[in-house]
Amino acid sequence: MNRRVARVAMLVAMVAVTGWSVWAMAQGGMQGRGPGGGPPRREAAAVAVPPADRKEPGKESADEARKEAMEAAREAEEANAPPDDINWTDFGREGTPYIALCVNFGILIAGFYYFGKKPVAVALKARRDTIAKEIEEAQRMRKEAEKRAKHYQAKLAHLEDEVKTTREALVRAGEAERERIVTEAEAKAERMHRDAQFMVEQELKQLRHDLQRDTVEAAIAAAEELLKKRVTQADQERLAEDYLADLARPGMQSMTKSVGGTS
Amino acid sequence: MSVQIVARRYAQALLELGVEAGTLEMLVEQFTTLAGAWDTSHDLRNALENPLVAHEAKRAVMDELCTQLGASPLTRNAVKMLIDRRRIQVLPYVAQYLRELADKRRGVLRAEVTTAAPLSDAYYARLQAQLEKMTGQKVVVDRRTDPTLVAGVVTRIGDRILDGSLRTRLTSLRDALLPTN
Repeated sequence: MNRRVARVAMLVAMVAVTGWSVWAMAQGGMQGRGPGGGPPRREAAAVAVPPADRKEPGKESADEARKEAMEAAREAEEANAPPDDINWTDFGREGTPYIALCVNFGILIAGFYYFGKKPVAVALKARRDTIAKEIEEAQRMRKEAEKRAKHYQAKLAHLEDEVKTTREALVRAGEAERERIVTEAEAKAERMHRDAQFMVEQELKQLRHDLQRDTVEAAIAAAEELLKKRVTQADQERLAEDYLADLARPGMQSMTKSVGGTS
Repeated sequence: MSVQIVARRYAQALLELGVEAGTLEMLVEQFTTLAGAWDTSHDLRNALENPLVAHEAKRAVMDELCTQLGASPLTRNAVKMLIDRRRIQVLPYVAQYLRELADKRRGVLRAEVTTAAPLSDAYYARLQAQLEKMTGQKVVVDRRTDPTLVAGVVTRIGDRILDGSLRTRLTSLRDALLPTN
């Protein structure tokens, strides 16, 4: 990790140095310095001025005018002179020899190669993998789309049959539901009929029971009233004698009971 | 505390006092009479149970009643003690338990004979003899009359009831005629 960071930092530094060198060379070119160094050239148009045109009315002495003319002529000559030879190896002359620039450039290329080989390779490999994956994904999606398209086309082709099948299934389901509802209703009606019959029977039974009870109660009440009216002292004494006779009999359980219960 | 338990304790104490004084029979009779007056007289119960009636007035009422009955000092003091202790409502139970304890002490069974109409003394004597024969003990018969029996006789002796009334026969007939459900 650290090595990778150092490698990237070195690469960045080298790119910065290269940029700076290019900028410096561009600055040198703008000042008119040619390859291999040498003094800047003067433009011929700027110096090739006739001595007569350059004489000004304020100049007194002819010597000065002559000197200036000679100087101008010399500069014009220098300006029209052919360029210097390329400085390949001479380190003594003004400017950097081309061989040094080439060596410098080679070191720079070697540095770029050394430090940038792996990251670039990794980046390229990653990029290649990503592109491959995207291509695969795109192919897969295309296949799926084609498959779906085929499926829908097939469905469209069989749409009529499918509609017919669905309609028949719905009709069958409706008929089955109708039969189920009818069956349930019949069962419910049967059950209600049975319950009603049972309730009627129970009511009849209860009525019969109540009627019988009321009849018995009325009959007993009437008998009691009749007895109360008809019983005489002689009947009282006769019943008392019967009671005494019953007590004298060995089995008298029929008229014996314990207090709080029967026996 | 239960009324019966309190009454039983008073009855036991009165029994011992009556035996000691030799007036147990008279004590039982007087308490039975007082209990009868209590049962039959609503005014007497109201006067003796009403908390608005002054205590002295209650004592005076009971004193007057005892005087009219010719109650002995033991009976008089016992009843006044019930008033003082606000236990006068147990008087009928005390009389009942006292009579039961006295009968038990004498080896006597008391039979309560209820008839729809009064019967002759000879009949009661024969009935008493029959009951003594049945129980093997001396029996004393208390006579009562209840017209709702319609006719016949009902005897209660101890915890047994010998029912020969027409009312009970009619009830049995009704139960037999009625459907079971």
